[in-house]
This record gives sequence, structure tokens and C-alpha cells, in this order.
Amino acid sequence: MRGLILLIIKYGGFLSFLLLEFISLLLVVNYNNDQRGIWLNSTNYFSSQAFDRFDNFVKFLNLSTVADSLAQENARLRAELRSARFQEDILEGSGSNDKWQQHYTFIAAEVINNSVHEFNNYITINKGSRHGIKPRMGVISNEGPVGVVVSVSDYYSTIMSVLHKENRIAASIKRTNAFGSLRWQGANPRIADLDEIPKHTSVQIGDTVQTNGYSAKFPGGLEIGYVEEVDLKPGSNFYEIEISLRGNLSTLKYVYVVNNLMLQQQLAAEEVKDE
Amino acid sequence: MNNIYLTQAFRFLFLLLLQVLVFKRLSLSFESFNYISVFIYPIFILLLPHRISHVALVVVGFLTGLSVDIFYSSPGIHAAASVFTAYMRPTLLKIFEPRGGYAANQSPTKHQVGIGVFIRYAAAFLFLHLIFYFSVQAFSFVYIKEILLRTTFSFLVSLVFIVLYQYLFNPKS
Repeated sequence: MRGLILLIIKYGGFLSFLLLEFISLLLVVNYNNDQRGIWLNSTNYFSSQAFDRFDNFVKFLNLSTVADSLAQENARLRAELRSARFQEDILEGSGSNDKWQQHYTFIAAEVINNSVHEFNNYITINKGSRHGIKPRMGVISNEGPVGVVVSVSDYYSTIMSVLHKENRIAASIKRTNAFGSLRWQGANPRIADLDEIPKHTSVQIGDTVQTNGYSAKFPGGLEIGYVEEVDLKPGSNFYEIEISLRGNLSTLKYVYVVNNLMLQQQLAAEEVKDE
Repeated sequence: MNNIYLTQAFRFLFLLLLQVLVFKRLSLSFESFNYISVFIYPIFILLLPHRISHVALVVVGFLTGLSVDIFYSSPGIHAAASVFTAYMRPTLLKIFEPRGGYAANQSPTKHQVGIGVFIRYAAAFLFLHLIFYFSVQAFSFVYIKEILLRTTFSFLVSLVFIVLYQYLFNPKS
């Protein structure tokens, strides 16, 4: 207490100076329009910067929620695409919109487990039978096909990745419509082979390879990759084509499970063939 | 004892009226050249007796500035400048202390300290007051040129009036 009094006696002038100067400036800022304007402008500048940073931080924290909702939105928009519709018209473009029936819907899911370095790679996603996923459904990402659902639990599904030696995907060369099947070589996760392209069609390096929808797992017209190397062995009827895949499966985060609403129709029609 | 308070109170009222009734209008009449405002009220703080404590000095400075602010309808601006100069007063007095020192009960008037010391002391005091005042008024150093111009012109004119005041009234305490 004694020390405090001594302190006040010694620095009283300075302390009262600080206090009264503070009060004066408070008055200046609160009751003078010009100075108030300058004050508000300057403090606004700093506070808005601070708010901006804080906002960005909060945005960062919310990023996963935002991404989830964006994935849902993407799935919905994909279903709106023309390639997701079934055309009932005989001639394209001759009918009204009602003639376009919904062909595919999409279920957004998040990858929770993934591998690319095994011979046979699988992906686990966080959606299952509760969300309408069934085995044999195709799975795509925004960079192309991802794989095929092989097993389903209530809340999770396992996907046989495109990078699986047993997995075949029906694919076409976009330019010529020549179709073959895509098969992974088992080494480089960015390279796959396109088999069964007959030698009477023309194939050029750089040609786009896309899904053709034959398998009823993927909508047609989905880009898979580009022709990297073309080889024709003597005596063979088919090209050996190497394709660089468009998507990088090792950084896969969101996928869309394809629900083909016409699957039963197609299977029923094709049933005869198997008998 | 009473006499000192009475003198100061009377001086305060006189300078306040002089400032707001005469010099405020005088400043306004320089409309085309608005760099001049005449300030005479700071000499009230300048002429307070030597023995006044530092705290009291700052408080009196604040009240003086606030009184002027009421008439200038600029709450806080004169107060801020006055608090600052009142706080600086002991330092200035020390710098310009004459050889014999000051008499404790007296004020540093021309009559007491001589015209030389008074002018130097008053000039330093006034300059600090004005530059602080105009800075607070502009409230941003973006206007530094304006601040300096206003300070310079107002300083010269105000100093003339302050010295004139000493010659006219020649206060002893």
C-alpha cells in the first residue's frame, strides 16, 4: 500500500496525464464527426482484416463439411446430365424433355481406405446398403471410373478398384467408337492397358478413351484416359494399347456410386444370350 | 493565499472569454486563408504558479481545455492538447529556468522572469500545444503538411498576441 502511494506520488503526473489524455481522445472520437470517421475507418480496416483471418480459419475448420455437401451436390448434378438419362425417343432431339427418363442416379461417398500399390487394390467408402448401395454397382469420381462395388455392409462398401487385375471395364476410343476392355497391368497406378481393339480400326497416340456404357455399370462418355503407346504384334488381330489414366487414384477423396435405374431392364433383355 | 486562487480564477475567466468571444471570431474571419487560428488561452496553464503539483497541473489543464471545447463544440480536442502541454510544463520550465531559479509562489510571467526567458518559454509551450492540437484535429498524419502549415502560422500570430498580453497587463503573479 505504501509502495502504491509512493508510486502514485512519484508518477502521479504521468498517470493523470495518461488518464486524462485517454479521456480527451475518447471524447474526440465519440463526439466529433470528422475524427470519428477517421477512427472508425482505421479501426474498421484492422478489425475487418482480423475478422477476415478468423473467418478463413473457421472456413478451414468447416472444409470437410463443405466438401461433403459439395459432393452431395455433385451427385445430384450428375444425375441431371444428359448421359444420366435414358432416351425414349427414336430420333434424338425430336421429343420434349419428358421423353428423357432418369437412367442413372449417384450416391456421394467419402473414401476411408484406399490402396494403389498392391496387385489387387480395394477401396473402402463410408456408404453402404442403408444408402442404397448394392454389389456390382459402378463407382466413379470426377476424374473417371474408380471401380466396382464388390461387398456391402450397412454403412460401408468395398470397391474393387480399377487398379485390380481382375477388373475389366468396357471402354471405347472416343474418335472411332472402337470398343475394347480396360485392364490394369499391375505396376504403375497411372498406366493401364486397353485390350481387344481390332487392328482394322485406326488408333492414334493421344486419342481419348472413354466408357461406353455397355457394362451397365458406368454411364457412357466418361473419360478414362489417353492413348500413350500403340503396338501391333505381327500375326495379332488386336492392338496392344497403353493408356495413361486421367485420374490419380492415390489422392482419391470423394466418389460417386452409380445407381443404374435401368439395370434390370438391360439384364432381362440380355438374359437370352446367356442361355 | 486566497489571493492567488482569486487571481487565477479571474485570469481563467478573462482568458476564456477573450478566447471564445474575440479570438474565435478573429480566426473565423481568415476564411480564405484558414491556416491561422489564434490561441491565447494556453497562457493560463503557462502562467499557473510554480508550486502547483504535477497532478493538479494536468487536471487543471484538462478542465481548461474542456471549457474551451464547450465553446468550440469540439469535445476533447482542446482538452487533449491542454493535458499534453500541462504535463510538459515542468520540463519546459526546467529547460528555460533563469539563473536565480523561480520563486515558488509566483507565476512565470514576464514581470517575474524577464522578457527573454518568457518569450522562449512561451514559444516552446505554444508550439507544443499547437502541434498537438492540430494533430488531434486532423487525427491522421496523412495531413502532416496541413498540420505543419497550420501550426506555423497560428504559432506566429498567437505568440504575438501572448506577448502583447504581457505588455498590456503586465501581471505580477
